[in-house]
Amino acid sequence: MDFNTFADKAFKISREKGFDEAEIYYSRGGEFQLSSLKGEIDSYTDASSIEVYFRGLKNGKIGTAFSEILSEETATLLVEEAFENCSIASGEDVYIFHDGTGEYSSFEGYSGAFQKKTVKEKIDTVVSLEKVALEYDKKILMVPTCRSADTWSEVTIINTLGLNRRYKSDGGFAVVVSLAGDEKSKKTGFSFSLVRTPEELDVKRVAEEASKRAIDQLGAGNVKSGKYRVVFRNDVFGQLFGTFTSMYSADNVQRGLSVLKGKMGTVIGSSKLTVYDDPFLPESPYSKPFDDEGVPTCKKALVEKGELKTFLYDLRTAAKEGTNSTGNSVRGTYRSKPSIAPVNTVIRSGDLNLDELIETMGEGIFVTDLTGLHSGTNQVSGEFSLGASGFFVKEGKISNPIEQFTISSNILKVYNGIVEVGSDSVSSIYRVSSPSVLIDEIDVASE
Amino acid sequence: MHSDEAYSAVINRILSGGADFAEIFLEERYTGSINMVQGEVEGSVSGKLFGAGLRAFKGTRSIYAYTNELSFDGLMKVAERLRAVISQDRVADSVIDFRNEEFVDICPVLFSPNNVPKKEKVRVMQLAHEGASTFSATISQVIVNFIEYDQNVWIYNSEGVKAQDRRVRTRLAISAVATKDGQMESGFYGPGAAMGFEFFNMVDPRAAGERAARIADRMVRAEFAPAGRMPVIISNEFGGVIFHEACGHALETTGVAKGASVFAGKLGQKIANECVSAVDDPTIPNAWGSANVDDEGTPTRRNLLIEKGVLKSYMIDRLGGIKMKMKPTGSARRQDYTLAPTSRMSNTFLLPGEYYPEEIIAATDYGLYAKSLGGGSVMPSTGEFNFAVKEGYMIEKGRITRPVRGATLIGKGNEVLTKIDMVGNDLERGQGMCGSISGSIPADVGQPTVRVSELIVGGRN
Repeated sequence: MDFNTFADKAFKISREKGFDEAEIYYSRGGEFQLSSLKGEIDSYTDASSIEVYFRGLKNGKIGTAFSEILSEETATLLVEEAFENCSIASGEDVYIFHDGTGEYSSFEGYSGAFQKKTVKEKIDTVVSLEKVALEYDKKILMVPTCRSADTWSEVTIINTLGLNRRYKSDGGFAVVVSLAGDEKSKKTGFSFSLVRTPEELDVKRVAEEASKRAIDQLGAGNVKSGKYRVVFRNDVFGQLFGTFTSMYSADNVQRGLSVLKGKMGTVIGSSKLTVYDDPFLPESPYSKPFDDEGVPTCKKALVEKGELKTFLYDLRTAAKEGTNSTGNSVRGTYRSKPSIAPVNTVIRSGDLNLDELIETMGEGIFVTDLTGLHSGTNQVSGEFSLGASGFFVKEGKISNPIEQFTISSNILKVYNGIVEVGSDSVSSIYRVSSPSVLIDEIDVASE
Repeated sequence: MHSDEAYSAVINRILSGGADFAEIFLEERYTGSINMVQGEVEGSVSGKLFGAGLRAFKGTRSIYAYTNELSFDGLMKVAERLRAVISQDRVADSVIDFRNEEFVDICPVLFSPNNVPKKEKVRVMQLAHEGASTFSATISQVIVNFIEYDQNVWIYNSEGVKAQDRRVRTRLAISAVATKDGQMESGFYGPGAAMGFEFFNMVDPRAAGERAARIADRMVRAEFAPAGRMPVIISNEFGGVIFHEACGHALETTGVAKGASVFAGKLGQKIANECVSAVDDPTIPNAWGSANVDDEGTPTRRNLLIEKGVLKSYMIDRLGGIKMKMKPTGSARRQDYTLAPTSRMSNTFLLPGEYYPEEIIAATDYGLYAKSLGGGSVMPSTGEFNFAVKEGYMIEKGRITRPVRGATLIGKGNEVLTKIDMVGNDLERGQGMCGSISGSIPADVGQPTVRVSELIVGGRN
């Protein structure tokens, strides 16, 4: 059954059932993944999938249901399931749909470059990724993870108010974890690269970076507990920052679940901190012209020179405050309701390169790895306590590797403690583009 | 569903490309979640997944593909793609004689998710909300989630395995936030089981809500935990996440088969203190991590992992077994058809020891009592783990004195196992979602109260 026939059918059943309005979100996509171990393809994934969501509105209440096949039977099931879901909805929130008005960017997220590559070429790339990582140094014992992947997707949103939008995007990534060892210890090093086309993947840089990071950590010692100045490496700061972006969600603010509640227009961080949500970031495969409710996306500052400029809204939370959606509704996984999040968080970079940043710090800790981001953070209070490893810095130079310590603080304390921002921005997982950042004081626990 | 002959033909198509092994995993799943905030239903989402995952082995290589196109032609098309990857000709045309895997269902279900009106589920959620919101005046927010699914799987492989299993899961997850003097702290409790709605004959939703609220309320009144090395007593039930992270993941083939685990090559060796014995048991009736057969169709079984400190077994899936030249242990699991299975934990716990929990506390002069733990993570190749203490107290002169918040525990799994020096007699299990390369799956953790002679506690100085 083709999509348009399916949508017509579902909308018809929806009217008969008694919904006021109806909307369908339809996504088709594919993924291709390879991993290499000891010079051979260790695993290979080649997949295609579809997802279809139906949302129905009745008296401002919403009901949602999903499926993975387009058929007449599915159309009936979706509407009925959504209707029961709608029937138990309570509370004062009023849901609305977007009518398709507004200015849509002509952003083009699809190049098709990965689709043009042969499987053989992709295999050669991932095998050489492992080879380069392994041959970087004799101390590299193995490369436990060496994976490359590319994905594409096409999203269509159509509703009974006249919205009818479609966009296609693609991209890829590579991840390498190298294991280094000597007589005394074993250490892993991690490197990740997000790309829009296969040509952008710098095999040598990614592979060598993972191995170098593992070797640099060998022989790591302890550090005395205390308060330290800290430089977070670019990708690590991006991870930490990204873990807490839920505090910009108007939904969390309205519910009192954000430390930013009541702080609009006030100073929440150092004047060195400027943060954007940029849905058109060229290098990000997450970039898109409209959000998952079909509302046009736009670039905006969340924080400008330390001042909180805006929260992020979807249609429902915006209506609650009499403002407009910022185009930040995210469907996420289809087993839960949509949330509100930045499309791509961009922390504006500064002038100092990493060496200069470390020199400015003088004495302190260079943090190159954080663990426990999904468990050791309290997104409501902003508190965190995380496992870390990195290097001790003395007299403005990296001195010795250190491991098995924790860093604890509050995210707003970190915002305020930013002394300098580096010039070495990198896009990493967590959809954050971040430079390395120098923070004036963080609690470190170990010995 | 198609006939056995049809599945045989799909498998043969894959084998004809030179594969040593081929498998079809079919899944149909109803899944639903209801979200309640401050007593109001804010979202209810439900639906169905349908898909097939096809897999082939050539030597120790694994090739995987999945699709939502479940017609015979759709499956054949995917089989063709797998065949093309290996692309060595082989004659494979004999009809596979499937042997049906028979078992007595260890997870029978009375009221399946589809047959209980959502209004009934909302009623349970309201009770949990009441339990939490009325617990203390500090409780400012309560979020209750009702999560359920009904998964049916069919597995066929080139060795004649044919298995079908049904996995029903029901979980109530409560988050409470307490606010006091501008501070906010949250508490979580999420009981679940391999049961339908009858789960709530066993679990009192109101008491579950109270428990989440208690954690938030205690913690908002707490000072920051002190930092440094100290003895840590970890309470029973969800405290077992320490074993799960510190050791369990490193006993899965994902790390062991590559030699990328601190416990690789250590079978029969002493890896833990003598008071430590541990099992992974997917055969506990109706437990959160149980199943009749694993996701490769192998019957599940209780696996003794550590006996009196000695490593007795790994958890092994089919591919891991080929790499390690060992037999599968019924431990292959996956989130759904979009991911190839690998060996995973099910219900994993430390076995009880001789001490009453009170005796362990009385025997400790100074340290941290970790009453509730949050999630954690581990790097299996180095054993480095971390996890969050969600409800903590100080122990001073053999007594629990004051609540402390914001503590994190870090260490190395192989070291911590040797530092467990007292094991209690109060074994309980708790429910969690475990994430690894084959996705997010329900898993029980568990333990009696244990003492670790020293761990690094990350807190404030």
